[in-house]
Order: sequence, then C-alpha cells, then structure tokens
Amino acid sequence: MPKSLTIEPENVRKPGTIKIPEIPVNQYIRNINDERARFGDEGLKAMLHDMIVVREFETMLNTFKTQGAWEGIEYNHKGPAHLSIGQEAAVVGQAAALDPEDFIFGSHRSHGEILSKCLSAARKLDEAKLTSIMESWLNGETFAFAKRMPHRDSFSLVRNFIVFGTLAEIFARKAGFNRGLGGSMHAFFLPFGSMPNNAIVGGSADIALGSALYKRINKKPGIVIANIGDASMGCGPVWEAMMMSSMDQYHTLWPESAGGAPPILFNFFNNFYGMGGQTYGETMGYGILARAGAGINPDAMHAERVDGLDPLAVADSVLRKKKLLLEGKGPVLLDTITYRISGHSPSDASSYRTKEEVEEWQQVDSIEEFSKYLEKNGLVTSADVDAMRAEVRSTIVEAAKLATNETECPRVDGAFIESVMYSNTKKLALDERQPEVLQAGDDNPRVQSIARRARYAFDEEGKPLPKNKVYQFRDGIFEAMLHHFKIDPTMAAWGEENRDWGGAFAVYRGLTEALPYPRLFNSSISEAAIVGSGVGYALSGGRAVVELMYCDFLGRAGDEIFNQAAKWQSMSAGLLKMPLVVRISIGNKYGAQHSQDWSALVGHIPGLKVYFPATPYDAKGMMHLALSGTDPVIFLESQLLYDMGEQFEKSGVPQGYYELPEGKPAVKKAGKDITIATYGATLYRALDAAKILEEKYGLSAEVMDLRFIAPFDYEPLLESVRKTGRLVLASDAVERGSFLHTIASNVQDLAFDWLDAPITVVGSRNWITPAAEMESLFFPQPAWILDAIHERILPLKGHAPSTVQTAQDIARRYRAGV
Amino acid sequence: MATKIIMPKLGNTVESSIILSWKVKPGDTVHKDTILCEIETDKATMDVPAGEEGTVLALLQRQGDDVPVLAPIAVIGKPGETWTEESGSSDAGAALKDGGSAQPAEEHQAVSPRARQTISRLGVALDAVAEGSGPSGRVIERDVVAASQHVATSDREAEQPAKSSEPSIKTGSSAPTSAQAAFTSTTRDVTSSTGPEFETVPLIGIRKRIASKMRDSLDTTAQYTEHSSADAERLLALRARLKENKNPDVAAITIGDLVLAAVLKALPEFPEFNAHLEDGVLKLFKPVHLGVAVDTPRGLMVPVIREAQALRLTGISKEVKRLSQACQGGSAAPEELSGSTFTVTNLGAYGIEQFTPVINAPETAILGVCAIKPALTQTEKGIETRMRIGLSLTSDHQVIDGAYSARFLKRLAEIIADIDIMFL
Repeated sequence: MPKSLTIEPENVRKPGTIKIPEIPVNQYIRNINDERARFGDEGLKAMLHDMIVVREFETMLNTFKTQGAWEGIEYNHKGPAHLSIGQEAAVVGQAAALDPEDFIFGSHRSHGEILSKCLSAARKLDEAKLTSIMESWLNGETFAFAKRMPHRDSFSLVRNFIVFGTLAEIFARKAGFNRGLGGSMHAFFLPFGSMPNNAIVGGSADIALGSALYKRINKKPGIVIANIGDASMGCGPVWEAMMMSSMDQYHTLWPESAGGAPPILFNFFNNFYGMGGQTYGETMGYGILARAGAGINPDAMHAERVDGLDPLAVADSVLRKKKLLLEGKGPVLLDTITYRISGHSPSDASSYRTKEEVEEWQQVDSIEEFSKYLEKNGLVTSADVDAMRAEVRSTIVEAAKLATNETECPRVDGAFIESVMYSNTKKLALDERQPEVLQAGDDNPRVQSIARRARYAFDEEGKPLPKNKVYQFRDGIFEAMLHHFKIDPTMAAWGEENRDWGGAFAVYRGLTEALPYPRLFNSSISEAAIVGSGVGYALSGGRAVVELMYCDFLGRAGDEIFNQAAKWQSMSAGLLKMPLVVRISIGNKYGAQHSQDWSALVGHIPGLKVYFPATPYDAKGMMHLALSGTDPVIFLESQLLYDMGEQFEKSGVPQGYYELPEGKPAVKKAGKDITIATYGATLYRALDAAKILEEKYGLSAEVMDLRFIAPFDYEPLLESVRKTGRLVLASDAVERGSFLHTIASNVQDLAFDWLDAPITVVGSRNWITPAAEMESLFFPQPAWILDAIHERILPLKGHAPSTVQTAQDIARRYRAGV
Repeated sequence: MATKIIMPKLGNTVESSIILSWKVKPGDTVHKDTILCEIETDKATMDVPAGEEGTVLALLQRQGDDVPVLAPIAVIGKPGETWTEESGSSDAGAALKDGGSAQPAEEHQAVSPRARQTISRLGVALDAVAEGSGPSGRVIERDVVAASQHVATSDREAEQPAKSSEPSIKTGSSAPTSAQAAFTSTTRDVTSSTGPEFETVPLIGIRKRIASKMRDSLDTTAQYTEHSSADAERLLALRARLKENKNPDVAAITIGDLVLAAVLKALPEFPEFNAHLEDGVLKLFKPVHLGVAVDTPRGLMVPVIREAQALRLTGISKEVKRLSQACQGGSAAPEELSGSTFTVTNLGAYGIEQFTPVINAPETAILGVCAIKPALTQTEKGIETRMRIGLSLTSDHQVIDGAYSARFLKRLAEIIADIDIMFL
C-alpha cells in the first residue's frame, strides 16, 4: 500500500528457487568451562536449585490433588493443576538467561515458569529494590506471610515470598500474587517479569507480540517471550502473531531509530502432546516443530530445536536469541523439546501413551542428570543436593501450611471482585515523553478540511446542509483521536488499511500525515493478532487503538476480545490496566458477512466497556471518554453514520475537549406518550417513526439514544418510561439475543408498575442480511416501529399495518427458529 | 407462624387511616422497629413499625387505600413461609375448592400495571372501566383516565341537574354504560394525545377529612356570623413593648397570642361558647381546650392547647408556636389534634377585614380574628382615627342567640381595648 514500495512485474515474475536457511537441531555442546565462565558456579548451582523448587512444588500440588493431603497437611484443592514435572530444565534454563526487565508470557502449565523467572530475577535485583517490591506488593500482605516462614538470609526470604505468593494464588487466596483471582492458570508476578499466563492454548502468542511492540515503540528495555506449547502450532492466532511479528515494514518503513522488529521470541515448550493428542506423528505434520519458522520469513525466524532437558542448552539458545532480538532482527522461534512426566492434569489416565515411554524419559530426568553433571565437575556433592532438596521442601511445607489455612489466609469477597472488574481511572498520558507527531496541527490536511465544515447539520433556516459541507461522525472520531495522539506518547493505532488508505471508511484520513511510524501502521489481516497485540500493548503500559474493519470479523478475534481484553484487569486483581480501544465498524449493503451488529456478544462479556455512539457529538465525546480511561472499550460505529452531521446539538460539535458522562443514555427528542429507545443508526429511523406518530396519530414520542451498553445507567431511561408508560426498543442487531432484550428485561424489573404495555423489541429479522436492494426486508424500518406499537402497545386509530408485528407472529417466528 | 399486622388505632376518634406509602415489600426482612408504612389520619401522618421480626410475606392493602383501624395491613412470618388468606373468608376458601366445576373462570381481564396504578391513584373502580382499548382488550391507562372523567362528569350532573343545560349529555338514570357511551361518542377521542383540558384530583387524606367535616358542620348547625371590631391601640402598644423585652419568650408574644388571652378571659363568662352540642345535648366545659386553626401545606389543621385557661401568656404563646410547627412538619400527635372546645382562626395577617368562619363542630362557635386597620372612631375627644382589630364570630343559633353572641363580642372588645390592664 505505501507508494514508496513498488511491486514490479519483472521482479515478481522472475524464475528461481527459494533457499531455506538451515535450521539447527540440538546443536549445543556442553563445555563446563564456558558455562562456569558464563554463569559462575553459583549461577549453575542456582539452576539446579530452581529445578528442584519447580519439581518439589509441582509434586506437592500433584499430591494434594490426588491424595487430598501432603506432608500431613490436609487440603482439597478444587481448582486446576496443570503440572510440569519433567519440564524443569526447559523453564529454568530460559529464566537463567533472562534479566528482570525481560518478560515471559506463559500457558496453563506455567507454575515452573513463574517460579524460575521470579527466582532468577530476584537474584539479579539489588536488595533494596527487592525489599521495596515485596513491601509494596498488595500493601505488603504477601510479604507478611513470607516473613512468618523460616528464613536465614535475604534470598531465602525472597524464595518464601515467591513460593508462598504463587501457591496462595493457586489456592485462590487474598494474599496470592493476584489476590487469588488468577489462580493456577493465570498466576503471574509483574515486577519480576513473569507476565500473565494464559489458559487459552496459544493465547499468549499475540499478547506477547503486543508487549514486544510496546517495548519497541516506547523504547523500553528487554525482550518478550511467548511460552506456548507445541499443540498451539495448530492455533490460528499463533500463526497470526508470527506473521504480524515478521512484517517487512519494521525494516522497510519504520524509521531506523525505531529499532527494527519487535523483540519477540516464540518459544514452544514442545512436550510432544496437547492434552492427549500427540503432535509428533499424529496431529501435526511438521516433523520437527522448528521447521515452521521457514514458513514465516527468509530468516526462518532464526528457528532452532533446543534440547530442553539440558538447562544449559536452553540458556545458551536464549542468550543468543536475545542478542538478535535486541538488535531488531526478530522474531525468533525456538522449539524447546521437553517431556511432561506428569499427566496433563491429575485426572489424566495416560490412556494415550505407554508406561514404557514415560519410563524412558524418566531415565533421562533432567534434575538427576544435571546434579550428576555438577557433581562430576566438582560444583556440588550429593549431600549438597540432598540438603538443597530438604531445604526447598521445608520452604514449600511452610508455604503450604499458611496457604491452606482458612482463617489466616482468607479469600477475597464478591465486593472485591466487583471492584476490580474495571479500573475506572482517568489517565490522559501513560508516559512522560513528548509525543512524536508530524503534521498534527493546522498544517494537517484533514484538520484543514474539517475547519471548512459546519459543525451543525442545518443552516440558520433549519435546512440541512450538503453532507460534504458538514462536520461528520467520522470527523468526531478523528478529532478526538488526534487530540489524544498529541498528549499520550504511548498511544499507537493499528489495523487493516489504517495508514495511507486512512481506514476503509476514511476515519483515519489525515492521520498518516499526522503520525510517524510506528504510531500508526498497517497490520497483516490478522484480526486475532490485531486485537491480541493491542491487549499485550495495553497491559504492558501503553494505550492502543486497534480496529476491526467489520463487526462480522469479530469472530476472528473472539478469544482476544472475550477472554483477554475483557479479563486481565480483573484476573490480575486490578494490578494490570487495559487502556485498549477496539474500534469496530458495523456494516451494511455487503450482505450476510458484512452487515452484522454484534453488540450483544460484547455486551454479554463482563469486563468490557461497550460504547455505541450515533451522532458526531456523541462519537467525539465518547472517544475522548474511551481514550481518557484505562479500561478496554469496544467502540462500535455504524457505517450508515460516518457521513452524518450533527442534528441535535444546536451549537454544533465543540472544537475543544469534552467527555460524555459514562453510561448515560440521551433523549434526542422529547415526548410524553411513548418512548422509543435505540442503539446505533436505528436512531434516525426511530425519529422518522416519531414524526409519523406525531403528525398522523397525535402521539408524542420521546426518542432516546441508549449510546452505552456497558456500563449503562438505567435512570434516564426509567425516567422516560415512568413518564410515558410505554417503551419500544429498536436496533439493527438481529432480534434474537439482541442486547435490547437485556434492556427490556431490566426496565420491566425496574419500572413494572409504570408500564402500560409490554416492552416491545424491534430488531432485524433472524435471518442472513440479504443484498443491499432487499435490506428493508431485514433492518427495522419506521413502519415496523409503528406497526409494533399498534399491534402490541397502543392501537393507533385508523392505522393499517403494512408489516406483521403481532405477538402471535413473534411466537410463530420463534417456533420456526427465525 | 405468620402474624397479621393491623392498622393501629391512633386516638379515640380515628376510624381509618390512609396508607400514604409502603416502606417495605414482600420478601423484605424486618425488625420490630422497621417502618412498614407511612399512614395519614385526618390529623397527622405517622409511621407504622412492624412490631414483629421476620419476613414480609404479603402486603394486604395498596398505597392510597383508606383502611379501617384494626384491619390487617400486612403479614410477617418466616422467610420462605407461604401465606394464604385462609383465615380471610371461609366462603372464599370454599369457592376456591369448588371453583373448577361450579364457576368457570371468568374471562381474564388484562389490565396493564400502569393502568392498575392509575386506578388506585384516581380511585376509580375497575368495574367502571367498561373495556380495554389496548391490544386484545387490555385495559390501559387511557381507559382508566377516561372512566374517571366520566365518573366525575356524571357525579356533577346528578348533583346539579338544574345547572345541566346541555341537553345532549342528559343522562336521566345515569346508568354507567349508557352514560359512558354518550360521553364517549360526544366528547372522547381515544387516540387523542392532547387529553382533557383538566386534571382530576381525587380528594384524599386531610383534604378529604376537611371536606366532610366542613360539610357536616354546615349540615348540622345553624351558623351565623356577627362582625365587630375592638380598639387596638393598646394592643399594638403592648405588643411593641413586649417585643423590646429581653426575655425571648416574652418578646415572641404576638398580637394573635394576646387575642387568645383575651378570649380565655372572656369565655368563662359565656359558658355556652366553650361547649359541644351533640345529639341535642349541650356539654359545657370547665377547662378551655383552645383550638387554633393552622394553615399547612396539606390543608387546614386545628391543634389544641389543652387547659389553656391555666396557662400564662408566655405559655400560650409557646404552645401555639410548638403546635403550629408540629402541624407544618406533619408530626403532630393525634391527641394534639382533637378535643378542642372553642376555636380561634386568624386571617389578620392576610389583611382580611371580615369573614364567616365555619364552626369546628361539635363546638358551638368559632372566632375569626381579622386585620388591624385605622378607623374613624367617636371618642371623648371627638372623631379620631384609631387602630381597630376586626372580629368575626360565627355561632350556632341552636344554642346561642344573636344578642348573646353580640354581648360576647362586646365583652371581648372591651378586654382587647384594655388589654394592658387585663392581667391586673
């Protein structure tokens, strides 16, 4: 798309062959002298120590799960425990190569990653910093428990903190690292670079990419690793993340000062199984996972297979790859082979593998092997190893005693969970740097064009002005976004066709001139990675605005919206913020896969804020609101409205900054006999209906734009309903499961005695959206509203319905499933 | 075991109270002192505490209902306990049992919640609403409003046939159906949103009590009013002096208080004025329970100064203020609002020169105090302009003749004229 890059026929039509670089497989050769020089004796012993911590920790959980008791402590852990016994060398080797500012994102099987990354980071932080981290975390609540456990030096105190904080989190305790709201599969500890672990297979891939983009765009130190499993190779979003992480533009279009590609390492902990499906020989066809790198870019993602049973091989590879990544030469793919001796979970009956296979791997057990190696080289004696194991075990016993103590180590209450569903904080700039902009003032062509437009849709005589002379809905979004780009240095936007084209619907026209790469860039057509990277960018500390060109593509980003953007603030007990705006355009005219209003889907998901403006004034004020907070906002925009002028605010859309009050629906036309409330573009058809009601039937209709889906303040709507006693709800979403039914149900609860008729929902038909020429069969029309009122609320004198809106027909449609 | 909560009996004369608002709903947990509802007698508004602990199982009366005292209003029991009106009426129980065969279910008349609310607000009987104009014949709000207008109209016709000059609305027997038909066909447009030119406000609460009391008074007495005036120079001078007094209680004494003191001085000499006339028996009171009319946002109220003859001037003054405030705030107790033996009503502040107060039956008279105005007066020095205070005395001719009433007024005028030496 950029004009600077030309695609020449003679170039692309040239014959030739593709040469794939060699992909190393298990090439590491141990050399004790090199490793002693690299990590020091203490470093090598620390690796063994951390492997033992992981092994003992997981063994403890396995025993609690299977026997309900361990070391005389009785406890029934109801939640999950996806254990990594056997995988210790892989996680510890990786952590040993990382610094505290390096981030790792993990999976459902990440206890070992949390423990080893935290232990590694703790060794690399100075004591004052460590103490301040522990004292400030959850107001010192976790630390207080760590201090109650026996400790002889500062490291053993930190170890107490890490072991207890992780275990208390797994047992859903208030003093756990995330107040028990993350649990086994989502536990993490930010200050040591252990980032959110994800219960969705492959879920961390695009989030980690976003975190790497955050580091790159905001020039933050360190690299980011997505620790995902071999089975996630089958997940689309993982591929999307790899594609988006290897886009040419990092080198061809982004300024050199940006630093190149985002520093992301896709590390596949390859234990050869999904839950039971065997990726090697059964469910995949790559043979060796590292081969996949060859499909992504000419560097084959610098892919390697690494022997994850050897912590030194893993550490070696991570150190080498980290260097590449910091140089901007990523992404990197590592196929770190390992083996889980334990089942997928305690309910695993191992029906998919033989005892012999497991035993073969036990014979090459990494802890046994590595302790022998250290013994052989005179770094430890077997007595040292036994003492180490005994000490680790006693630490875990003490942690388990406290973390299972129901009275001393309680859980949070419902009010607390309620309090962390949103962060509800106001923060205009998320960093202190000067925001980088180009032509972002009066020199911007879009700004100039807007300046020539009338900010109210009608002239002095009340006649509508031509569309190209009025300030439009799209201008409201642009103006608000440009404002925030100029005050928040972290704010970045991406999506399909965002740059150069200016977005498919010209909302971003002028932003290309206003913003340098990488603050605005085109992504691959990777809806999951577009949103997922936004999630990672936001939870790492930046403000992201990502775009889905059509609401119909939301399914492609379902997990990222439903499970990731929506959940991380609350699963982190409010420790993470999610300043992410997902702009989603709702289409029409292009048929069944380009015309759907899926507001109900996002409205259904706790943790999301959902805004749905229908006027330029509201669009601007709501975008300001969205960009001033730190919550994930799904910002729905109907394509029918992009060229709409402001018809309600007589003084026009203000040039300056203003925010709409969150959650409040607005009366767009006052009336007293019936309330018609809408979402989105249906507002204008409701106003047409109101006009007919008034002129033909003498009924005065109040028309409200509901504007917000979540949060939503019912009071203004109730006030209207208490006055009129009648409510019609209408929107372009298909009627079945429409969010309007939630509104209807709640209004009925809250204002039953004021109702003179049932609340009536007028939605689109429960069909596919037909061709543009037939849309009036599908989308609510003014006549539908009138007919529904006549049939179900208030018979209109002399009215002859032109459509069927009777209660009987509603029943018929549902019987038929349409 | 569920307990029925009854409408409390607030004072001897209260026969029923109106439920102004429910403060609980079924399912709510209540303690003994939880307020169930706010009620209004003809005299005051009060809160009704639960008196029981438990869960509200049912509310037996609707908001706005006028409920006889001691009638059940709510049921409180254990959470989850179901309550049925088993003790309500054995007939109903029997009917319920046989209902299936003996009495086929009445065709369900759908009534919208809002229409139900309007029915209770306007006090219209559901029967009066002929049929619903909503979808499938649902009774909706406009049907109730229309019915209430019809009732109001036909009531007026029935009472004032002479005034009914429009022959087209003449209803004769005023049978509801035909009347409604006539009304509908001539004046009602059901889809008109503009509605009637007027708002109908049913009389409830204090207003309703005032209405019936006042009409009863006119129905049962032979009232007439005499107007006079008293020299008010000394009254004003005394008031001016009292106002300067350092004792705030003294400084707060008003002209009205002084007139009350004068009335208390005069009454013992005219015992028929401090009396009740009931069922042909005149009851002459020894103490004076002095009623003082007070204008409140909810209507006229008459708090009573008990044993007023025994009080000093400051005592009268303080009691008037206290009771007046209690009435304004709706906190006057029922016993403070009943049992007066003579009533004074004062419109002087409004510049009223004379009026015809209505007797607070069963009392025999009521004194109206009017404005103080300058008037030409014959004195020893000739014609002088002096300040005079108007007095309008309404008496019941059944027991008080005109001359007797005039003598009372004359005596009262003398006392007022010499008010400063009255206390000697």
